[in-house]
Amino acid sequence: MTVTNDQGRAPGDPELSELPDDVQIETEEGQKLVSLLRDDRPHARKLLEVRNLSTHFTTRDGEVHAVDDVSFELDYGETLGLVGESGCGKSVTALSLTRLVPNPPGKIVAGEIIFDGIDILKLTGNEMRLLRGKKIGFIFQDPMTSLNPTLTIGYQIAESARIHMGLSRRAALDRAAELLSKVGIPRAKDRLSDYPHQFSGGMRQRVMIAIALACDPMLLLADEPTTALDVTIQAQILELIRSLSEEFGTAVILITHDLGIAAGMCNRINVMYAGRIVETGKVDDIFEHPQMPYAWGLLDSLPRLDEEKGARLRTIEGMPPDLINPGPECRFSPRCHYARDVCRTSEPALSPREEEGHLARCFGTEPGGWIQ
Amino acid sequence: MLGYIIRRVLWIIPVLFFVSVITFVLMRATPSGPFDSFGGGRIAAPGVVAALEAKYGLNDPPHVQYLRWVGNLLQGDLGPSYKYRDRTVNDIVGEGIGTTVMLGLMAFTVAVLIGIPLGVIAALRHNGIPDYLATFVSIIGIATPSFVLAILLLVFFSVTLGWFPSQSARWWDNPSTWVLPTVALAGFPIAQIARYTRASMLEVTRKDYVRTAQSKGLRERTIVSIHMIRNALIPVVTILGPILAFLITGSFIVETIFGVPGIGRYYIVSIGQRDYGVIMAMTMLFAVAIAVLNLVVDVLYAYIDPRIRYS
Amino acid sequence: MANRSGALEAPAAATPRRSASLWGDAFRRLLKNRLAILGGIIVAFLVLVAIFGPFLTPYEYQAQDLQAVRQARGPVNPFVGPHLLGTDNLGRDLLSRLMDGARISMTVALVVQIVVLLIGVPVGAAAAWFGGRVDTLLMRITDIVYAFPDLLFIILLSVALRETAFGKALDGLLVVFVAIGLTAWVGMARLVRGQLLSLKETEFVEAAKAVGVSDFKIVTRHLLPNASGPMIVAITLGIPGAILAEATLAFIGIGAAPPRASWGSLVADGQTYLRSEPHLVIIPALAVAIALISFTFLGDGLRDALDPKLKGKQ
Repeated sequence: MTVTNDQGRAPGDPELSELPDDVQIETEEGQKLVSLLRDDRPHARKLLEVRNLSTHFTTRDGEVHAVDDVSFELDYGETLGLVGESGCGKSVTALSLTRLVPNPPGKIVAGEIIFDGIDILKLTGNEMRLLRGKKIGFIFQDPMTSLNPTLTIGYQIAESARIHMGLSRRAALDRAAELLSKVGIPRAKDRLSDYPHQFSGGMRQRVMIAIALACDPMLLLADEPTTALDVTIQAQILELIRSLSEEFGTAVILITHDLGIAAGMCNRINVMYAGRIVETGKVDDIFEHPQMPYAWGLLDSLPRLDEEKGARLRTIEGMPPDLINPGPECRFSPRCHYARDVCRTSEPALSPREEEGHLARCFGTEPGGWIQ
Repeated sequence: MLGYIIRRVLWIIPVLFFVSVITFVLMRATPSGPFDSFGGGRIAAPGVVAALEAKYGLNDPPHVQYLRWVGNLLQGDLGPSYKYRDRTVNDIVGEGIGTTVMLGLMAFTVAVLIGIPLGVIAALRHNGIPDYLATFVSIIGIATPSFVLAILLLVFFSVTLGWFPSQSARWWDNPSTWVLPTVALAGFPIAQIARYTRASMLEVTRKDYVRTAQSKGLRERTIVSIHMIRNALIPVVTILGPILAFLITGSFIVETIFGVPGIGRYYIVSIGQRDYGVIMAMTMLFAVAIAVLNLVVDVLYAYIDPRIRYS
Repeated sequence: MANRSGALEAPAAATPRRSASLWGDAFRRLLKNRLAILGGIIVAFLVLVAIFGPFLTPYEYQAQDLQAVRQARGPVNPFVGPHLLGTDNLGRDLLSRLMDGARISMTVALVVQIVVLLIGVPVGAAAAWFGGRVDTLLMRITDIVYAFPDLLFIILLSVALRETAFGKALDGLLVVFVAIGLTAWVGMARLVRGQLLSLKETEFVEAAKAVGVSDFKIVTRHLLPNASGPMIVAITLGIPGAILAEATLAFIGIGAAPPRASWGSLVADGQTYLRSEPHLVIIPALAVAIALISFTFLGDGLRDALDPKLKGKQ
C-alpha cells in the first residue's frame, strides 16, 4: 500500500520524520527500532521469534498461568494459525505480542519477543507505541464493541496514519477513504463521516481491518476476527484478510478456535492447550498426521460433509485443567483416552516428528510410543 | 431533530397544566385561608376577612378561580400577593428570579468544573492517592446536607474568620457575598458529579474500543481525551439536567440562611401564609425550569452520542 | 471485555467453587468490600437503635432537666455530667433526642421505600408488560411527577394536610414520609420498566407463556425476581436521598411536631447556640452524615457486587 505513503512527509528530514514528536528514545532497542521504522525491509532472520513467553494473571484464587513457556517463530509474510479452545491462552499470547495484556491483573513474567530483530520487552512504553499500529496491526473479535461509538469511521481509520506516518488531517482522511474502499466498502468517501452504529457487524469488521492495515504493518494479529459474525460474512472477511495480506506481504497470526478456518488460511498452525503449544507444524502435516490426541479431538469436532446425516458432532469430553497450579503431568492427560501412567507423572517435551517442522507434545506418538 | 424538540416543547404545556391543577387543589385543600391571620398572630375581624376574600374573588367556585388565574397567566399577570399587598407576584418574582438563577448557575458551573476533573483523575489513578482524595471529597459532599454546610461555612468563614459578609443584602455590589452561598449549594453536586464521572470512566477503561485505541499506538493522553472522556461523559450528562434543576429549585434553604434576595426564600413563607399567587407562580416557574432543562439535556445527549437520533 | 477475560474463563470455571449462584457470588463480593461492610454494620446499628431506642434511652426525649440548665446557665456541655452528650437550652438530653431522631430517620428510610415500591413497581411493570398505550400513558404520568419540584411538592402536601388525621399521624411525620415517597417512585418505575422490557424478550418468558402461565404470574414470579438485583441497589441508594429530604424539611420546620425532633430540626434548633455550644449542631449533623454515608457505601457495594458487568473484575 504505497500509493499515499509518501504524501505529507517531510522528505528532507529522514531521521525522525516518522516519529511522533513526543516520543523520547531511551533504550538501545529503541534506537534500533527507530532505524527499522524507516523502511519496510526485513531486518532479521525471522519476523517474529517468541522464546519461553509466560504471561500470568493475578486473580483472587491465585496466579493463573495463562501463557506458559510458549516459543514459536514466524517468517516474513507467513500466515500462522493459533488454534485452541477458549481459555487456552491464544488471545493472551496475541495481546502479549503487542504488550497489551491488561495490567493489572495480567503480566508478562518471562520470555523474549523478538520482532524484526528487536526485543520488544526491552522497549519503554513510549517506544512500544511506535510499533503498535505502525508495524503491528490488530483486529479484535467483536466489531460491535471494538470501534469507538462517538468518533467517525474516517477519524478512527485516519488516526494511526496521522500519528505514525506524519500525515496531515486531510491526507490521512484521503488514505482512510482509500483503505475503506480497499476493504470493500462502497462509496467509501461518503461514509468517512458515518459513525460505527451506522454499519453492520460485517462492515464494522471491514473497518477494523482498514484500521489495522492503515500504516501497512508487517504483522497483522487477527484475534477470532469472524467469531462474532454470520457464517456467510465470515467467509468474506477471511477472504479479505487473506487477499490483503497477500497483496501487501503482511504476515498474519490468525487466532481461532476453528481448525477449519485455520486450515483454509494458514501456512502453519500452532495448536495450544492450557497455556502451552502442544503441536506445531504445516497445515497439511497436522491435518494428515496429527500427532497429539488433543489435535485429533479438535479435528474430530469439525462438522464433516462426508458424514452420515444425523451423526452426532463429536466434542472433547471434560474441561481444561486448572491453570493456577499446573501439575507435572501432561496437561491433556485427564481428558486423554490414550494416557498411560507416564503421562500422569511427567510432561512430554515438544519433540520432532517425521515431517520437517512438525513437533508435538505427546509421549504416545513419540518414536517408539504406544499410539500408532 | 427539530420536530422532536417542537414535540417536547408542546408536551411541556400539558405537564404544566397538571402541575398547576395539582398545586391549586393542594393549596385549596387546607381549611384556613390567606386572611385568617395577619402578621403578629392577630386574628382579623370576620367582616374584614369576608371583604378581603370578596375583593380577591376567593369566594368564587374553585374552577372559576382557577380559570381566572389561567386567564391572567396567559396575559402575563401572575396576580396579586396577599401577603405583600403593595406588590404583585410579578414584582416579587421579577426582583428575585435573576438572583436565584444566577446563584444556581454559579453553583452548577463550580460543580461541573470541579466534579468532572475530580472524577476523571480519580478513575485514571484508580486506587492511588488522587482517587482516595476524590473519594474523600465526594464523601464529604454526600454526607453534608446543604443546610449543614451553609451553617458551618457561615460560622467559620464569616463569623470566626470574618472573610466574607454573612448577609448578602447588597447582593451584586460585592462578589464576596456570593462565594459562600455558591459553595454551600455546590457541595453536594460536586460529589455527585465526581462519583458519577469516576464510575463512568472506570467503566469506559474496560471497553474494547479503548484497547483498539491502544493497539493503534496512541499516546495515553490522546486515548484519555479523545477516546475515553467523551464516552464517559455521556451518562454524566443525563444527571446534569436534574442537578441544575435541583440547584435552581432547591436553593431556598441556602437563600434563607445567607439572606440571599432570590425568590426561593419566599416559597416557604408563602406556603405558610397561603399566599396563593406566589405559590402558584413559583411552582410553575420551577416546573418550567425542570422541563426545559431536561429537554436541553436530551438534546445535548444526542449531540455527544451519535447513536441517539430523535425522530 | 469478553475477549480479555476470555483467557480467564476456563480456568475459573474449572476451579471448584463453594457457591456458583448469583446471590452467593454477589454476597462474597460484598463481603470483600470493606467500605460496604462498614456501611452495613453502621446501618444495622442505626436500625437497632431505632427499634430498641425507647428502651435504652437514658431519658425521655422530651424530658427537661431544668436544674442542669440553670446550673450551666444554658445548654449543658457534653461529657461533663449525667447527660453524656449534654442538653439543649431546655434541658432535654441530646443523646435521647438523637436516638429518637434515629427512629425517625430509619422510619423514613423504610416508609419512603415502601411507597416507592408500592407505586413504582406496578407502574413500571404495567408499562413494560402491556406496552403501547398503557406504556405511553404511564410514562407521561411519570413525566409530570418528575417535572414537579420535589421539595416544594412535599412542603405543599404536608402543609395542606396538616390539620387532617393523616397529617397528624405519627406526630405529623407520616404525611412527610408519604409525600417524599410520592416524589421518589418515578426512578423505580423507570428502572423496573427498563429491566422488564429487556427480560420480556428472553426465552424463559416465551417458555412460560407457552405452557400457559398467566401474565400476572409471569411478571411476579419470573420477571420481577430477575430484576431484583438492580431494584435492591436502587432502594438502598434511594434511602440517603429520603433521609436527606426529611432532614432538610425538618430543618425548615416541616415534619415532626415538637417536642419530637428529627436530626434536621436538632440542627435548626442548635443554630442559635452555634458559637457557644457548637456540639448542638455538630452532633446531629454528624448523625445525618454518618447515616447518609453508611447507606451510600452499602448501596455502592451492593451495586458493585450485583453488577454482572463487573464480574470477575474484583
